[in-house]
Amino acid sequence: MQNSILIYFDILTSLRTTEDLNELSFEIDNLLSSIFETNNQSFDKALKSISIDTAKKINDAISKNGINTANKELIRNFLDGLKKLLGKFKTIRLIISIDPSHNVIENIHNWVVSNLGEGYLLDIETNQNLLGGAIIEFDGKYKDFTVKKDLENVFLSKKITL
Amino acid sequence: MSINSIIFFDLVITIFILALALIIVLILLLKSIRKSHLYEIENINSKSNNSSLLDEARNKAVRITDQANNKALDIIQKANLFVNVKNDDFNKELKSVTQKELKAFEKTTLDFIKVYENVLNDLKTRNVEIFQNISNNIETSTLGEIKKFNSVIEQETISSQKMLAKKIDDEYSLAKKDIDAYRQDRLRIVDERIFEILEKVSKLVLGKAISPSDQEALIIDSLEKAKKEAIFDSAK
Repeated sequence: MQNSILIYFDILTSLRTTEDLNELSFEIDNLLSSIFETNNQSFDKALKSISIDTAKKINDAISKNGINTANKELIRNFLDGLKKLLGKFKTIRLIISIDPSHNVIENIHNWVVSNLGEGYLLDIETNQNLLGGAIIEFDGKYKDFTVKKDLENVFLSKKITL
Repeated sequence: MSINSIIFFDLVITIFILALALIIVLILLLKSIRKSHLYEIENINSKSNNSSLLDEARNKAVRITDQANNKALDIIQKANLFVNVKNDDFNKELKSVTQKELKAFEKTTLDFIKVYENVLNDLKTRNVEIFQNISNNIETSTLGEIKKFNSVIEQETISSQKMLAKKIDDEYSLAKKDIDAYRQDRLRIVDERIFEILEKVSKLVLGKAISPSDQEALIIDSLEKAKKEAIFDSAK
C-alpha cells in the first residue's frame, strides 16, 4: 500500500472549508466506529452509514490505491492516516459580509491554492455589518480589509482634518 | 439804692406815723367826750326831780355832743385834708421818684444793653474765630482723612482688581476646560451618531448596491491586500 499523501490527494483537495473538514472528520469517526467498535460491519456496509459524497471519495481513493477492503487493518490505517492529515491543514479565517455560495467559496479557495498552495482551509463567518471585503485572520495575524473599515478610516481622517 | 428812693421811703414812713398819731388823738378825744357826757348824765340824774334841770342838762349834753361831734368832724376833715394833701405830695413824690427811677433804670438798661452788646460782640467775634479755627481744623482733618480714605480705597481697589482678575482667570480656565470637555463629549456623540447613521445608510445603500460578484471581487481583493501585507508569509 502506498502510504503516501498522494493516496489521499483527491480527498484532501476536495476540502474547501473547516466545515468540510469537520464533517469529514466526523464521518471518518463514524466509519471507524461502525467497522471496529459497535457493529463490526464490513467496510462496504459501513460506507452506507456516511454521506454518499464522502463515501464515494473514500471508496475511489481506496480503489485507486488497491487497498483490500476486506482487510480491516488496512482500512484502519488508511482512515487513521487520513485523520492525521486532516490535522495538518492550516486555516484562513475570513469574516465577510455575505453568506457565500458554493461557487464563491470555490473561487476564494482557488485563489488560495493559486497564491498559497494546497493545505489551506477557509473558516468563513458572516457579518453583514462589514458591508464588503473581508477581515482576515491567519496564524495569529489579523487584518481588516472591509468596506466598513475603509469608511471608518475616511471619516476618521475627515474628523481629524476638522 | 439811690438817695431818691431813701427819701421816698422816709416820707412814706412819716406819713404813716402822722396818720397813726391822728387816729390815736381822735380815739382819745372821743373817749373824753363820752366820759364828760356820762358825767353830765349822772348830774342830771341826781337832779331827777328837777325836770327842767334835766331838760337843761339834756339840752346841754346835746349841745356838747353836737359840739364834740362837730369838732370831731372838723378834726376828721382836717385829718382827711392832711391825708389828701400828703397823698398828693406822696403821689407827686412817687411820680417824681418813679420817673427818676425809670430814667435811672433806662440808663442802667442802656448801659447794660451796651455792655451786653459788647460782650455779645466779643463772644460773637470769639465764636467766629473759634468756628473758623474749628472749620480749618475740620477741613485739615477731613482732607487728611479723605486722603487716607482715598489711599485705602485705591489699595483696596487694586487688590480687589487683582483678586477679581485672578478669579476671572481661574473661572475662565475652569469654564474653558468644561467647554472643551463638553465639546469633546458632544463631538464623540456626534461621531458615534455619524457612524451609526453611516452604518445604517451603508447597509441600506452599499449592502444592496454591491452585487454578489462585486462582493466576491472585494473578498479576493482583501486576500490580495493581505498577501501584499505579508499576512500569509508564515505559510510559505
